[in-house]
Amino acid sequence: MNAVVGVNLNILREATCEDRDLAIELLNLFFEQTALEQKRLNRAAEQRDAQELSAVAHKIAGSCSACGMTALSARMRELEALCRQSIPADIEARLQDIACDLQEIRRGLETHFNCPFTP
Amino acid sequence: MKTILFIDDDPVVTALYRNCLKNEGFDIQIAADGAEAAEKLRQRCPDLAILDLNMPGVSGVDVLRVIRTTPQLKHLPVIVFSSGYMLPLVKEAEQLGIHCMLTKSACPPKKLIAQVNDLMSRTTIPASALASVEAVADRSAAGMRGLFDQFAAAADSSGRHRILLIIYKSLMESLQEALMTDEETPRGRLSRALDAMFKDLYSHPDHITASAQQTLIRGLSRLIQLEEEARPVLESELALKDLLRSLDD
Repeated sequence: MNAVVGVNLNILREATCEDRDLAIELLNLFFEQTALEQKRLNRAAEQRDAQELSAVAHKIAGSCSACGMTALSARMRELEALCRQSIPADIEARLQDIACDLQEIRRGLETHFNCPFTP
Repeated sequence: MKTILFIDDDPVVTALYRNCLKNEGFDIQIAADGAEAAEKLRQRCPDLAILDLNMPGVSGVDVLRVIRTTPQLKHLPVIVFSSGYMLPLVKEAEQLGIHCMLTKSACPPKKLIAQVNDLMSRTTIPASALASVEAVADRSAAGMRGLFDQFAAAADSSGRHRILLIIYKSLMESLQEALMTDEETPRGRLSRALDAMFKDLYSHPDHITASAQQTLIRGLSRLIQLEEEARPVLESELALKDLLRSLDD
């Protein structure tokens, strides 16, 4: 398997028992879910709702981890932990970085699997 | 087919593990939050629950509390499948009673499947079957005699099967406690033999012979007797532990 920046393909491969169709199905679901969760994150940041930010970050971290996106998962865990105390001052920048990383990972995986993900 | 209730609010996680567990031959039910889990558990007792702890609304610990305080569900084996760093929740869950805790980030499907298969192969009788019967209150040899008589007199295999489940459920705690004793002691040896026998009789209810019935009845009566004999020793040990603890304090 070729490398994809930000994704441990071994984890993804093991998780899906090397089933390409299952991996694509799972990634479609992942990007569909994280698109919704990102909206919740942005809304929570606007409303200065630290508890919601922490809860959504926790959820995204779990999904990232299941799909082999370990570095992004760690960043979400960090955000989750920070928001349990208070909203970090650089929250907008953090959310922007996370969105960029997700885009990059998505492009990498689309190239790797030669298949566009929805939405 | 054995049923597993997978309780997790993350659809990516449930989609991933549902596929893997289905491939192992299990019937997988999904509950996306604690409230849905409580409803599904009320409708039907699965053979195993895999439980995320950190969920919005009704948390995994709340679900576990419902399981452990509901007579039909209290023996249901539960694997906690959550984030390892949620330590207070994990500790609370451990106190309520879980089979094991698996950390999501360190648990590829293969590891979860191995745990599930191991647990299912060790479970003598499925929790769903046990949930369908009530245990009897009097677990003494005298109290069980009526059940043994019914078991011996039952006209068909389904009747024997049902009474076997009631006997097992009534004596489950005694049997499990005895299974933890030394294999070399009479109680340890007997409990292992009885456990294997229950497993066999449960799997083949059509072939319960009169001699198998008699052996089971004699074995269980003896187990109850051995438990009663061991009780004063256990009580002395507990009293001694309490005394030592009070001296430490």
